[in-house]
Amino acid sequence: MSLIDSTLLQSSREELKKYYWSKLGKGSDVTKDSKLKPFSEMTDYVYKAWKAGLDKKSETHYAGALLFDFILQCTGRRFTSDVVEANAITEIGRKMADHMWNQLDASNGDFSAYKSLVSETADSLLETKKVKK
Amino acid sequence: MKKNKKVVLATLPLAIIIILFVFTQFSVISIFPSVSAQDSEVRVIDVRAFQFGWEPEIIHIDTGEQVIFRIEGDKVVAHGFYIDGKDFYVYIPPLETVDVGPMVFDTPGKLKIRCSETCGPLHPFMVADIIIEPNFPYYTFLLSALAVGAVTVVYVQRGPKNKMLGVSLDKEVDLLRVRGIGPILKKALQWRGIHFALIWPNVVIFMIVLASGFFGNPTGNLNFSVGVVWILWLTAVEYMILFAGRTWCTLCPLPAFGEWIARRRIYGVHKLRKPFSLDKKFPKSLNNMWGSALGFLGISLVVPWLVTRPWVSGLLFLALIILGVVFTLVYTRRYFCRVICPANSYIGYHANASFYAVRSVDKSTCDKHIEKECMRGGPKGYACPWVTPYPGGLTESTWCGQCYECVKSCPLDNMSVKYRMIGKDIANMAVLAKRRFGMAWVGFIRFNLGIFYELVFFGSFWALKDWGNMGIIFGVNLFNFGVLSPTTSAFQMWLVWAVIVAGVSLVAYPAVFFVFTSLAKMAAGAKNLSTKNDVFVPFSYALAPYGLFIWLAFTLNLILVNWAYPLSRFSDPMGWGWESSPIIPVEGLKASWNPLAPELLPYILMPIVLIGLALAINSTYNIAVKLFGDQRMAFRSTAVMAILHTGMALFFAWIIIG
Repeated sequence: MSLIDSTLLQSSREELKKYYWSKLGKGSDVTKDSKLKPFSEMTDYVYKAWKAGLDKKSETHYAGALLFDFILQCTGRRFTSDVVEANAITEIGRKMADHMWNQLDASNGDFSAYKSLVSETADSLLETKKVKK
Repeated sequence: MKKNKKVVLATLPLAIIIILFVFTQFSVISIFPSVSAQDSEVRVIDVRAFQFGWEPEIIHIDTGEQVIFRIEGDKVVAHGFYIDGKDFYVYIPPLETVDVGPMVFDTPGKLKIRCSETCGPLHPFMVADIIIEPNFPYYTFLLSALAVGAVTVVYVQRGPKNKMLGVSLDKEVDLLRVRGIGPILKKALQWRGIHFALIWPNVVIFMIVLASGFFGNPTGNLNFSVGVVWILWLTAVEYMILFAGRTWCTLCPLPAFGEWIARRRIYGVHKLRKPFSLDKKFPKSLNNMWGSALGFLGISLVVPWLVTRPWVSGLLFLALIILGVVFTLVYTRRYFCRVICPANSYIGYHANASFYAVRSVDKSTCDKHIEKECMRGGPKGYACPWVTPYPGGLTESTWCGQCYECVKSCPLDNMSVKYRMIGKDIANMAVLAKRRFGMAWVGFIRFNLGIFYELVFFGSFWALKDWGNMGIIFGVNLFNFGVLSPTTSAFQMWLVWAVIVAGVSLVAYPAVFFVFTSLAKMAAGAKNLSTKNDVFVPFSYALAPYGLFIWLAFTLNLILVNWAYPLSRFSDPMGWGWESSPIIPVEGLKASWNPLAPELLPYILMPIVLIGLALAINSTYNIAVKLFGDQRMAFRSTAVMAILHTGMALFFAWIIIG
């Protein structure tokens, strides 16, 4: 499985930093898990949707909306009035989900490979590991 | 000063009605002094009671004349003799003749003789007219209609911009942002369980409707399926449309069963499973108003059976539930509601004349938002089940079933509920709907049937009722539905009825409307527009408020006279004579038939119709301004259409008091 391309990774990192991580505050409460919760939930969903044989287009869109919904929840909000934020997050969510879906297609749903892809992507998002070029 | 003038002009129609009403009620006696009761001879009026009418149908009496009604009873069943506003009910046993009176009628006008003893299925509509001459109120009503028509035309001649009867159409209140109630309402609408919580009680009521329809008392007004549905529900829906748009569609249990099965969920958003449905694409050519409009008309052809025979009502609702489930299991979304449900046609059409609408807070925000969860569905809500192309850009309520999924799913909190003046969207939607003939015909069918029903059910013409009823005097439930087999001659008379109902609604009135539209276009001097393709359908949208107000008047008549029937049915749904029901054990709900202010009904109904008239004329003007882009042209065409609209108000006045 190949990792998300660096441009998408970079933009995803920036959007998450701008609209999510910066709102989590600074302190011991902000763990790696809390920073990655929306992403993890979204990737879980993508796997389940792929396994259920659902339609890629609608499910990847839904995954984008799901990422945004989890970010709203994790930042203690029900809504946002910022349409730019909504667009940015759902867009990166949809693109990441699209990539994950393609990888699942390619590996015929190899769960362990998918898990390592998700973990590597998460590390790259948090820049805890160098991005493979 | 200018503003004051406009306010005066806008309120003038109402003022005229009030002045004429007061004049009629208090001055007429002094103008036409009554004959002293002692001076006059007593006139004996022979009246024959039969199922379901009186002979003569119309009785003329002079103001102050002393009369005795000599009532010859029916051969088989007992009837009751009641006159609007008189404080008595006289029991008329079969084969007996009863004298009622002497009595004097002091106030000119029209009163109804009604049957006060349940005598069969059409009992609530067994009426005759007493016209107390000189029928001055009738002429007053005619003058009022002419005055309201004329004043509204004068008002639009002044060129009000984007206004309806003096009220700005730009102003609206966002109900979800009103201090106090707004946040509570918003929370309720965004709660996923709200739909289920609202529908569930109606599912229970629906089961009672089906059970009573098939197994309850065969006489309509003694049965829950008829008393509650065709008196209480029918009235409630019309008033819901005016004040709360398509709220009935929010509450309706008909599509719920199919939707719950297809979604595999009662109220949550269930992703990760394909819908339990074939998820077929609905044929585009059928995705319009014609299906439900013709369904509504089809039901109207058998309406005397439907609203008086429990079995027929039960059968209709069972069929609708089955169709609702089947349609949802084939097409997933609410195509049953969109194209089959007969109520959808009129609820959707008239919702455009409602104070209430689901709209976006700021359309530009919706436009900018890429994901559009309202269309695709999101974690908090399904994609619009009504297949509204773009809920964020809604400018009409026709296809919005008020399920509030968009309010739930929008992460930008940009969908809301607006309260605004009647007719805010009519002009805009009308000019875009140049070839939506289905919508135009919904308007024609509804408008005509509202007037026709007033004539049939509350008019004294017994033959009209009998034709529609196919001459059958029996009530019907599952066990005796065979008695509905008509004789050949009765069926032939029903065909006459069907031709009248369908012919007037589908052909005659639309033809007259077309002629007036054509004249209006000529008067406007809009040579570059085609009557058929550009003007006819848009102008028909003025019937959205007018038709709604006609129905508000008709159903108010229905409930004010017959309120006791549905109320009693809550304590005895099956009509089996239970002292109290195990479902709602409230003995106090057993009410005796006792019409509310029946002698004042014309004075209550006519102002409602006149408001509808003023709204229709003003709507025509607003549509014409958008269509022609010129105020003078718009005024000239409106003046022509106002003649037709006023003519229909005059006709309504004739029915209720002429």
